[in-house]
Amino acid sequence: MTYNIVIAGVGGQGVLTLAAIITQAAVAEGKAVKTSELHGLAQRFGPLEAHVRIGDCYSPLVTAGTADLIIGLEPSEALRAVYYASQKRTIIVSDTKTIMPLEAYLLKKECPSLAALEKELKKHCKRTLFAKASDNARQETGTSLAANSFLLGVIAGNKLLPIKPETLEKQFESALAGKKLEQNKRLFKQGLKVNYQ
Amino acid sequence: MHRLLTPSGNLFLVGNDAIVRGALEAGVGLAATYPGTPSSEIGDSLAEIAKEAGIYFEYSTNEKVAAEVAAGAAFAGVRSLTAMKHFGLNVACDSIFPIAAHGVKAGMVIVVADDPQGWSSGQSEQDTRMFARTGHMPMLEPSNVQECKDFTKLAFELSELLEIPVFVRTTTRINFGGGIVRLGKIAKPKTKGEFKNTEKWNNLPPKVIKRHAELAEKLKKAAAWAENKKLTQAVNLDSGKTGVIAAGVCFDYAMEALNELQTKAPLLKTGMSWPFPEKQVADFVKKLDAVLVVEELEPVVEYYVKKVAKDANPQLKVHGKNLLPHAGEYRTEIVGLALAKLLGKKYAQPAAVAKAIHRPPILCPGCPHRASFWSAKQAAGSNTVFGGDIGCYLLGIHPPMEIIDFIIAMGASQGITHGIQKASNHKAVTFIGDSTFFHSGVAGVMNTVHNNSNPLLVVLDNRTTAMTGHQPHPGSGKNAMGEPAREIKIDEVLRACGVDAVTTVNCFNVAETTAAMKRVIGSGKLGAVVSRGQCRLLTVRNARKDGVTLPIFEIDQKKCTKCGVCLYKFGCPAIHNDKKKFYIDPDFCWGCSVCSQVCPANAISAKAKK
Repeated sequence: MTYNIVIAGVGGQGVLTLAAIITQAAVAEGKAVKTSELHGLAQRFGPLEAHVRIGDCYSPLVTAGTADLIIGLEPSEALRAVYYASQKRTIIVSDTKTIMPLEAYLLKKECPSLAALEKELKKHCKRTLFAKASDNARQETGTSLAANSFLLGVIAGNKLLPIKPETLEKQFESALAGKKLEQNKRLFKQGLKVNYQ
Repeated sequence: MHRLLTPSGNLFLVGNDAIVRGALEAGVGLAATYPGTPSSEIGDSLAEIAKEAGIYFEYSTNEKVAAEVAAGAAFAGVRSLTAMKHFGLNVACDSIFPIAAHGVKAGMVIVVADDPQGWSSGQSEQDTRMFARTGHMPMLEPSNVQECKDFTKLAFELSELLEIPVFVRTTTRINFGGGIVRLGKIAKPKTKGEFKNTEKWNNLPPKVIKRHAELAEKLKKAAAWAENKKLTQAVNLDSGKTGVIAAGVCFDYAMEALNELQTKAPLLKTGMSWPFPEKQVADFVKKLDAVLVVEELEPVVEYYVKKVAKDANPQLKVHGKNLLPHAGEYRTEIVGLALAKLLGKKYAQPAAVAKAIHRPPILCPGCPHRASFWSAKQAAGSNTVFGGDIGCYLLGIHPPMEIIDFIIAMGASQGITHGIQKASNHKAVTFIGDSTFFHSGVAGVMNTVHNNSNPLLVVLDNRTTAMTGHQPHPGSGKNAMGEPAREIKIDEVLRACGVDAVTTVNCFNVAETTAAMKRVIGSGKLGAVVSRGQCRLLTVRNARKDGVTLPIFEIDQKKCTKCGVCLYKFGCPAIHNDKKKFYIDPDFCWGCSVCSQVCPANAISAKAKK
C-alpha cells in the first residue's frame, strides 16, 4: 500500500524543503518514492502543495480522497488540501498560526478563526492534530523559520510517517549547518515528545 | 562530487535533473538556455555541474540565442542541448526551423516544457507538439522521470542519425515529478570539434525544396528507429476490448486509475509525438472495440488515432476530448472518471472542495517592484496606460496596486504601448524587468525612439532573473559558470538607443524615485527611469547566509491613525489588521523600509535593536 502525503502551505513557508527532507529520508531507508512539486510563480505567497508518495505507485500526484497524511503549514491551506482527504484514511497535522491573505483584507473578508478551521477540518478526516509549531519556534529561536522542524517532530513522534525519526533527523545535517542545524534539531526533538494519544 | 555526477546505481531525481543526467550520459559538450519555468532547473543544474563535468554551459540572452548557440556547437561536431518553456520555443522557432532544414553534424537536443494549467505561465496554455510537425523534427515524450533520462540520451542518438535537432517534450508534472532513476554511465564529453562547411549545408533555393523532401525521408527513418527502440509500448494486451492510448504523464494517471478501479485494460504509451507511431497504433487498435485517448491540451494523438483507425479498424470508437477536458491539466481522478464511464465501472467522485479562503500569489514582502509601482502611481496622472511585461512584476495586475494594464509576452510592453500611443491620446508608462529588457526589450525601445512616441520607460532592475530562480543575465557582471563577465549597463544601452533622459534611482527611496518619474512625465518627452533595488528574496537569503540581521519595522500604535494606507493601498503581506490595530508580522518583515515612507502619519519605523 502506498503511503500518501500532501504538504500544504503558503509559498515561502518551506513546503518544498519539508518535502525534500521526508523524501530523502524515505530514499535513505531504501523505500520507493514518487514526488510532485511546483516552482516559480506558484511560490510567491500563494497556495503551494507538494506530494510525496512512499511505496510502489504510478502517478506522482496523490489522487483526491486518498491522502494518509496532510501536513498543513498553515491551517487554511490544510483546509484547501482536504481535496485529498477522506474520513476513512486521512490524518491532518497542522500548525496553529493562520496567515491572512492580503486579498481577504482588501475584499473585507473574514479569515476563519482557528476554531472554525479546526471544526471544518475534522469533518473531512479521521483525526486532526494541531501543533503550536510557529509559536514554539519563535519562543526558542526568535523567529518562526524553524517551525516545520517542530511540526515534523510531532508527526514522527506520533508515528504518522513510515520512516524512523532518526532517519528524518539525519536529513537536517545535509540541509543545514551551525547554529541553525542545532536549533532545528532541538525543535524536532521537542516535537517528538508531544504526544496526542 | 555533485550528486548528478554519481557514477552509477540508483538516484532520486526530479524530471529536470534526469534530463541533465541523460545529456551527461550522452556526452553533451555544450548547453545553453534562457530560464523559463517549468524547465528553469535544467539550466540551474547545468550551471552547478558544468565545471566539474568539464562541459560548457551558458545562460544566453534569450531562447533564440540559446538555440543558435547550441546549433553552432552541433555544427562544429559537439553534442549540444538547449531547454526552454513553451513560450521560449515561440521565440526560438525562427532559428530552430531553419536549423532543421540546414542540418547538424553532432546531436542537438531541444527540451521544451509545456505548462498545462498555467502554473508558471500567466499568458496562455500552449501545446507545442504541433511545432514538431511544422518544423519537421522528431519529438520524444517521456512519461516519467526514468524516461526523462533515457529519452534525452536516445534523442542525441536519433539527432546524430538523422543530422537534425530532436525535441524532448515535457509538461510541468514531468519536470517537477520525482522518482528513483537507474543511472547509466556518464560519457566522456567531447567539447571541441571543428567547423567544416559542406555543400550539404547550402539551403538556398532551389535546394530548399530538396531539403524539404529530405526532411520527410528523415522522419520516415525516425519512425523506424523509434519502433526499433520500442519508444511506444503496449501493456496488458488482451485484457479487454476497450483500450487506452496515453502520452506523457497521462500514462501514469491511466495506470493509477486502472489500479484504483481494480481492473485491467490494454494500454499503449506513445513515447514519440512526432512522427506519429502509426504502425504501433494500428497494431494496437486492431483487436479493440473502443479506445480512450488520454492527452492533456490539444487532441493531437486523438486526431492521428482516428486517422489510423480508418484503415486499421473502421469500427473502432475513438474517445478523447468527448470524455476528457480540452483545457487544464489532468489528474488520476479526472482520467479515472472517464475510464470508469467507458468500462462500466464505478469511480468515487472527488468530494466537493472545502471552501478555503482565496489566496492569489502576490509580490513578496519588501519586493522592490511594489516600491516602484507605488512611486509610479504617485507620479503618473489619469489618462495613463501602464504596459506590463513578463516577470514577478506581472503580479502588479492584482489589487491593491492594479497598475498593470496588460501582459502579453517577453518584451511586448514596448511595442504594444507604442501602438496604443500612436492610436490614442493616452500618456503611457511601461514596466520591464532587467532580464526581460535584455531578452527582447531593446528592439522595442529602439522602435519607440525611431518611430517617436513618448512613454516613461521604467526598467525594474532587481539585478537578477527573479521569477525563475535568480539566474544571472547580461547586466549581472557574472555568467552562468560563476565567472566575471562584462556588466552591460541598462542606462548605457538606453542612451545608446537614443533615450536621452535616463535616471537610475534606488527604488527603495520613494521620494527619489517618484521625483525622477515625475520629471519624465512632466517633460512630455520620452524618458527612462532605471528603478534599481535587489530582489528582496536574494537580500534576505544572503543576509541569513552571512549572519546579517535586517531591520524589522513596527507600527507605533500611539502615532497610527488607522488610515490603512500601508495595508489597503500599499499591500505588503507582512502587514496585518486584527481589528484592534494594524501591525507588522516580524516573521515576514524583510526590512525594506518602504512602508515607513508611505505611512502618512510617520507611525512606522525600524524596531530598536535589542
